[in-house]
Amino acid sequence: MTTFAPNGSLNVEALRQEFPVLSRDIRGKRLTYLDSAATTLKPLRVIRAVEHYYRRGTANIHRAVHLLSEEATGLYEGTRTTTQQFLNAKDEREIVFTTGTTGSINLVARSFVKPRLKAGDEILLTCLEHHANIVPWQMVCEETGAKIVVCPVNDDGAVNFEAFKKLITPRTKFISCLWISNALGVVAPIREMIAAARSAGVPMLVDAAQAIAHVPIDVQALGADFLAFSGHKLFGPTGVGVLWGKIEHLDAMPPFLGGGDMIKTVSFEKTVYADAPAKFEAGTPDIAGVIGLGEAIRFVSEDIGFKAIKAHEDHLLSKAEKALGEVVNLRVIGTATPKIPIFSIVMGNIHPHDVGSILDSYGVAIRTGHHCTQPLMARFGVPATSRASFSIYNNEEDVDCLVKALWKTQELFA
Amino acid sequence: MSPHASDLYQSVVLDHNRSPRCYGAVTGATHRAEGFNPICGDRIVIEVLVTDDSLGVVGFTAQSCALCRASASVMMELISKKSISDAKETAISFEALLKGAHGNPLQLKDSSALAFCSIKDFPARAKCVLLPWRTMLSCLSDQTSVSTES
Ligand SMILES: Cc1ncc(COP(=O)(O)O)c(C=O)c1O
Repeated sequence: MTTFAPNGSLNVEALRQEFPVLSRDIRGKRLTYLDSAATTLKPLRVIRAVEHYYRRGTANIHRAVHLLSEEATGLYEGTRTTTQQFLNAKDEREIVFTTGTTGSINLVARSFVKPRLKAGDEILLTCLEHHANIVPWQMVCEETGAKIVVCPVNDDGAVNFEAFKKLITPRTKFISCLWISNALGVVAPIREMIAAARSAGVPMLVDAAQAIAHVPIDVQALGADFLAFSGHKLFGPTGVGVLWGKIEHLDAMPPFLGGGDMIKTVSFEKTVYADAPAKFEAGTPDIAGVIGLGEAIRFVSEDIGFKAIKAHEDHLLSKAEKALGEVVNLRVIGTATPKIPIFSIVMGNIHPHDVGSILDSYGVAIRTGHHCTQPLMARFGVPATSRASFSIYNNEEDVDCLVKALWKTQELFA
Repeated sequence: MSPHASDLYQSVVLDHNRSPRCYGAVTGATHRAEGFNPICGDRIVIEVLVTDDSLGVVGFTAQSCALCRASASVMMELISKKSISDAKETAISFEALLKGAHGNPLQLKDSSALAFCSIKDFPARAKCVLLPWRTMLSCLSDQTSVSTES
């Protein structure tokens, strides 16, 4: 039983009080924030932790014996322990702090995958991937002559798992796939995909950028090799994220960036690198961000809990699905199940940017465009969609406001 | 009153979006340019048949939002049959108008272009409205493509 789900079900109205942005009025209207897939709002608990570091606790970490530095180091390293427990990682050395999902994927691409690639090798992705899980692989392919192979998705947005299995061949050197699609909300059959990768002996990374705020994650039970996520999609600060990697991989990988904090000894003749994870955390990190991330994780696990999150989001999903289904001339791309309440909407020939502007004037914040998934948009034959993405602090009124504004849009262009 | 989308999507704009003027390719065009907004994917092609230094026939095609399409249509009405230098001046006046320059520049007096004035309250959409005009300017300067992000 958690603070905001005392009897198992989420008390949304109490929870909304924790998110100060929600009380802002937007162009004279109540804010209907439906852009959590881009970034989630931040609760007071996180804001206060970040503020505390800047107001009362500023110091660099790992570098001095004075009280402030010891405190800051304790909080920073405390987030590592918190993250290890949150992901059920075997060892806290498996938790590397990065700049975000993008930083984590690039680290793996450069430091783990590139040295293993030669011309003709293949990296397997799916058609659902975010550009952050496409471009780093293209860059290492360009440098090595390896190539990218893309697993197709079905018309409902589901990963074609039969095709996925067939695309794993002796040429496949690495697999990198998202767990939940940021553009469609569709959940990939990640456990089965990891099992297929393992039985072929191919290492795999899971892009959990979206999954992290919606499903409980146990990296040991999952059995992948790497998992990446960003703090800002988990109610935490921007600019900070995590790479979880099996310790035997991290120990064997060369560092990615060189600098302070990632060394044991330096002389002009030879530098001895620190062990993982310090080896991958060169320079002064986003200390406040990491501290805020720790608080965000505690907020999710102590104050809310994934049982309550799932129940609440399933409720919003079915209510929104039903209400959107009644709007004329409206189509949702990505109806496969299971899915989380993210809706990629196409309204006849009304351009998503027009939808976005009109919704904005009703206080409804959605994302319009390609959602950093141009190959996926091309797969569905649209240049862009209007995406409404829900999170824990959204309520039924948010669904009503969205649908009302969509009806208004429809009327305007009728 | 805070600015509302209805200031942006006025009936003139909606009408031009629904039935754009001069929509289509121009046969025997002497000038052609393509405008592109990589952020939203808007794409517009402008073609002009210049005879005796004036814009004899103008036309456009677009895969774009309503604001871009309506803006292109309004522009077509304004520049058709004008001399090249007048057309360029009209474009410059239009940009000044969007930036909130005082008074209605002579070129745009009483025209439908005034419907786009409220774009100042929606800076994220200014590029949509400007794309056709920038494309037209590059078309008349014999450049063949223009991007909102360069
Ligand atoms: C599925 C997915 N992968 C990767 C990313 C990139 O995350 P970030 O920009 O925080 O590095 C995102 C963010 O939108 C995402 O949704």
